[in-house]
Amino acid sequence: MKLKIIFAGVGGQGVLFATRIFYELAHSKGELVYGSETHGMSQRGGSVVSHLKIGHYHSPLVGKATADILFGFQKEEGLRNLSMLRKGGAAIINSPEQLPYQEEGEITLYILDADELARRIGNPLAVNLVLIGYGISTDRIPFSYEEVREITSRLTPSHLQEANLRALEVGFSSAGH
Amino acid sequence: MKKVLSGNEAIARGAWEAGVLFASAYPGTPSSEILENIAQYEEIKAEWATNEKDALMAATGASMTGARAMASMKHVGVNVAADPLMTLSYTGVNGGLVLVTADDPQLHSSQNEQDNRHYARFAKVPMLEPSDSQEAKDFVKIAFEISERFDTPVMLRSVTRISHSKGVVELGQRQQPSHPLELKKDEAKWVMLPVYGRQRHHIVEERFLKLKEFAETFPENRMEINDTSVGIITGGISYQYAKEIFPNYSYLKLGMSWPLPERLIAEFISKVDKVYVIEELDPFWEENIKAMGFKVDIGKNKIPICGELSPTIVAKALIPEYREPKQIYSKPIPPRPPNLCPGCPHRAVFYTLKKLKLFVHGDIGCYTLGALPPLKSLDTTICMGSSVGVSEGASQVLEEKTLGKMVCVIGDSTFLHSGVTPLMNMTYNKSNATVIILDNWVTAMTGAQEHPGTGYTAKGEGTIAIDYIELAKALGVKPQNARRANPYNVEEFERVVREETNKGETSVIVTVDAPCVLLRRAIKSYNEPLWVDEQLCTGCRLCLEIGCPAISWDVSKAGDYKTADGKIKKRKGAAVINKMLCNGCGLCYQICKFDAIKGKKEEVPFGFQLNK
Repeated sequence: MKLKIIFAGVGGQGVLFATRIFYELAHSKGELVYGSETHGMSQRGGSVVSHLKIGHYHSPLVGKATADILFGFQKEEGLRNLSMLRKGGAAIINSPEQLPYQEEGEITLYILDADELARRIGNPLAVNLVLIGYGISTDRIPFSYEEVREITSRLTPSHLQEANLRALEVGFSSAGH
Repeated sequence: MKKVLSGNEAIARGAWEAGVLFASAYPGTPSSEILENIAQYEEIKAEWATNEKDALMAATGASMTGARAMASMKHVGVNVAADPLMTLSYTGVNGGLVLVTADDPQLHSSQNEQDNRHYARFAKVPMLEPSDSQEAKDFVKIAFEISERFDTPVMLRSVTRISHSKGVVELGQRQQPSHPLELKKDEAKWVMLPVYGRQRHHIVEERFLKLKEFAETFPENRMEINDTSVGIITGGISYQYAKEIFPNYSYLKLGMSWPLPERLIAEFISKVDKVYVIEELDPFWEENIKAMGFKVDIGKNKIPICGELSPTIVAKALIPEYREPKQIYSKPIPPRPPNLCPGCPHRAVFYTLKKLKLFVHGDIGCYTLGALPPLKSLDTTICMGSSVGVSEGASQVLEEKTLGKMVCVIGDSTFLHSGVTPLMNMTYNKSNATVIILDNWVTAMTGAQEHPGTGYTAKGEGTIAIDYIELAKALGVKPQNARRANPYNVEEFERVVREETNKGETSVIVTVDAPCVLLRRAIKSYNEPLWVDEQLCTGCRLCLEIGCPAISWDVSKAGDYKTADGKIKKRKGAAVINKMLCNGCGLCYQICKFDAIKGKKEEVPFGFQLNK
């Protein structure tokens, strides 16, 4: 497998947990993983970007215009990182409205109001899992819903199990915009 | 077994596998997680030290007894630890001693981007530099072997992209410590009187020659001969960037950054047509290789010195036909700079200092963000403790002109790290300066680590907690000039700051009941979110001046609006509070001149319900 994913959001959105779901899953399937995270200042509500490469690579950083998938947990952070996508890549973005980007054929946009869905299930902090669930449903990510669900369950502390898996499910069964 | 580990987790694991018995550190990005992870191993005594010098001295003491010991810190921490380091090079070790320096090219969270490879050369000690998590773990073990074999401290250099990157690591077993633990007299080795120091300097120089020889055949200095039209000399994370861009060229990968293997370099250069040296930050290898008399075709003549490298930067610098991919979305998106959290006690402090129009000497911590707009009320920051240190000098030159005009702020952890001695310098030299200790009960910026003021150790055990008022008094601050004040109580805090900054003597104000809002241990409960009464908000924007992430500006409320008493007035917009973010700290509630900010309770409390 060769896959490059960018996770972009703001401090407190669980960007690093989202990344962890994918690298633990890939690792459990025997794949090599390389990732790079931002810590420190970014905990203070600043932009957080996390890079993940699955397969054999050297640098842990994803180069511009080479990513296959972009998860944008927040609209502006998604837009800010659109240029990380290669031609033909897919952006899965949390936004209440369509994005002001229309060029067809370059990349595919998948938009979901994950904030609203997370609020509706009473778990506003689970935007990351709602969006991941939605991302899996798009068929652009070579992991199954069951696999992602199992690894999420394994990484989630017991008191959050039900809420987190529910968020994943809600995202998976939503149809986006 | 294989596991995905960050570089820092791998360094911690390497310490455990190497049989380390003692580890000490002061938190600092990107190094903090090393000790946090080591502290989870029962077999290792792990400590947060008061500062990096204390960490290295403690590790030295442990090494003297025969234990393998590690000290870890961020790059600028080595400056603090440089004093013991330079002479530790002379004494050497007993049990292996490894000093981990985690450098921060690009200043992701630092005040400079110094290249600590210079320290290895300066102190004449070997330095290893891993290029991924697996090597990070393996090199720690090798570093301990080198340390004991050559009787030298060994530096292990990481950078942000190693420390905070993930990779798959093959785990190993713990090597049982073999040295006997004892106090053994050996004054010619351990007492650095001039008479012994002179002898040890000769030993250091002999050791350096032996280490150079060792480097020639050290397997982690390895040649990868492929296409010989270009030979790339590199190491650390730069190796990975270069490999990604030039997979087919030949490589000399330096696992040991210092000393350099001169014969191996000569052999490599003889095999290739052109020589590239690809390294992050300073031309450290390049200059040393040139000094050996070799020609370097491409180095810092093409590759930037400032900032970190990346595959893209390497490609841009070295491939003439490389074109940056076009922006898919090119409209500017406003940057999202880091900010103080909603309810952060520092915000309340800076509101008051700005209102009093004080010149504020700042320090290293979350509160350095007080320099950014809209708070914009922090005027200097240099290094740990500099707020107190520079205030002293400024107060001596300006004398009474600083009264009511100047103050300094320093966090609790930073104060204990480097603020105590400059405070003594103030009282001793009769400075009139005022120090505000922002006691938020934890080392907050780096992710909530314990320190001698918190009452807990790195292992989570209860311990003493320094009383800053008693400490200030012991350092010579007069009892009437050492006061506590709650910054959330804006009126009271302003009064105390005004009084103390106008005294002609050294004053200390310690914030009270103002822990970090993210410190779950400290906060029993947050308050209900506040809201804006739309009939009372005049759109004066004063509440926006505190830069709270929970308060925003709603232009849709511009125009005519009806006040509570039925009058029609005009405004340019109104403030709105995001109830998802607001935790009801009460700062905006107190500063609103029109009572437009409301809470569920009649009176909004000053700060939060705390576990004391």
